[in-house]
Amino acid sequence: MRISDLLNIGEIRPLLAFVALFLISSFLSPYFFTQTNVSILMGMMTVTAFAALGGGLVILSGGIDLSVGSQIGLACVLTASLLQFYNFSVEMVFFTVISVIMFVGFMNGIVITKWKIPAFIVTFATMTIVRGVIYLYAPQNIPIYNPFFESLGGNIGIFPIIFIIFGGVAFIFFILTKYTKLGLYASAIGGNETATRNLGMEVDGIKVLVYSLASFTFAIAGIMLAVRTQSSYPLAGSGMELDAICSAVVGGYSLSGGEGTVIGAIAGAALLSVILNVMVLLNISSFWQWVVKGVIVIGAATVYRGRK
Amino acid sequence: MILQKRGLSIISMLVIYFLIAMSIIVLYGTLHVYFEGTSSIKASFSIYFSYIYVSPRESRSFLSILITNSGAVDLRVTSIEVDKETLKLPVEGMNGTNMVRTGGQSYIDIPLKNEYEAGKSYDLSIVTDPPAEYTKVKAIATLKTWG
Repeated sequence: MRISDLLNIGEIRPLLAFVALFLISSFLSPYFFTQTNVSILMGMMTVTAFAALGGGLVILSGGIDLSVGSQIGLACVLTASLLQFYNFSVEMVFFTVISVIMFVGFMNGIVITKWKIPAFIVTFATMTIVRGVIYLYAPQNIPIYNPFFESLGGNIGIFPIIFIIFGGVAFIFFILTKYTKLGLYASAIGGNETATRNLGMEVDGIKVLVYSLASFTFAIAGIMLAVRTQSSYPLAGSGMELDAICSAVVGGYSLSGGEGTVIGAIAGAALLSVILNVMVLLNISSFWQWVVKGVIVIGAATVYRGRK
Repeated sequence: MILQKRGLSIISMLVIYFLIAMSIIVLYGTLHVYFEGTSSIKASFSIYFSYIYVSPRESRSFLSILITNSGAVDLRVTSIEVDKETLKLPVEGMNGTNMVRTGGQSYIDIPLKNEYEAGKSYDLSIVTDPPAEYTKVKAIATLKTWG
């Protein structure tokens, strides 16, 4: 198999942009290309990349998920509370958090497909409902004291363990979307839903599955956020929806659906993380990060506009 | 897709998964609480400063601490161990409250019985209800004159 078979043109563009930005950043700041910063960058990128994987899958199927941040926040808060308040075993925490968050995604999918309400409205409502539930459930910070979670926050060489976990999940997602029918069907629904429905495919079921699988990645992102901060806080994951959408769009996903790949989403998340990281190193106000993210979305959408 | 061929839709399969998952979680949660007892809520606090003020003229001293509750539950400082001295709170002559609400802080002055040498640091252990994970800090003895 040649590299060109694995990487189509849509994936090469964000990857090249990432490499170019990485080199430019190395010249802009002497602290950028250091072992410590590269390690921090990988850890920082992990949560965004998880969100981009799920967010990208939803966008591929022609939908949108604005509840990414709230779902990540709920996963983070659930992780901390189950460990600290209910003394659940780590395996059970993973299972419970993933199941609960997947159920949120499942409900999103059901309401969108069965009640025929636009994804934008449904996920926007879910965003506020879930954030409200978080505040009702745990309005305070919950510190985590768990040896296993502490070890997950460590590094193997320069690679943060959470980054290695991300690599595993991303590989499974890559296979799932590139070499199974799920990726093909999701892409087909995103490209032309009516035509796909007329072909006799279970469009509603696939859409519900896509929202549930996306929530699976948000659940892992929330757990990884808890690992990174060794705590949870009510505002955890806030604003991550923009990061997920931004990464996906930069990575070559078409917001109208039907186009996009896992590698593109990862490259988009890496690109975004490098930009935000170098802004911090250059002592640029964090408020500018919001401005830059918005400009990147518009810029990337404009660049990819003519492609279809 | 294999199960689909047996007539199960994707949504039905997901519903079955969530029902099984919910049963496992509820069963585990119930049995866990039943066998392990009530939840193990841990307090978390930070000590912003801890000084033992020693009077240069008299042989008396007091401990001054600023404690911040950084955890999810309200905590009560039940006792304090300074070097070899254990004090159950509240003690006579104590200033401030030993009850610290979540996110709040409390400044406590506690009169000490033993003698302490200015310039030395002493082990300070703070016992709270509910118990906290990390409870040991250091207190530095310093000279202070008061009226």
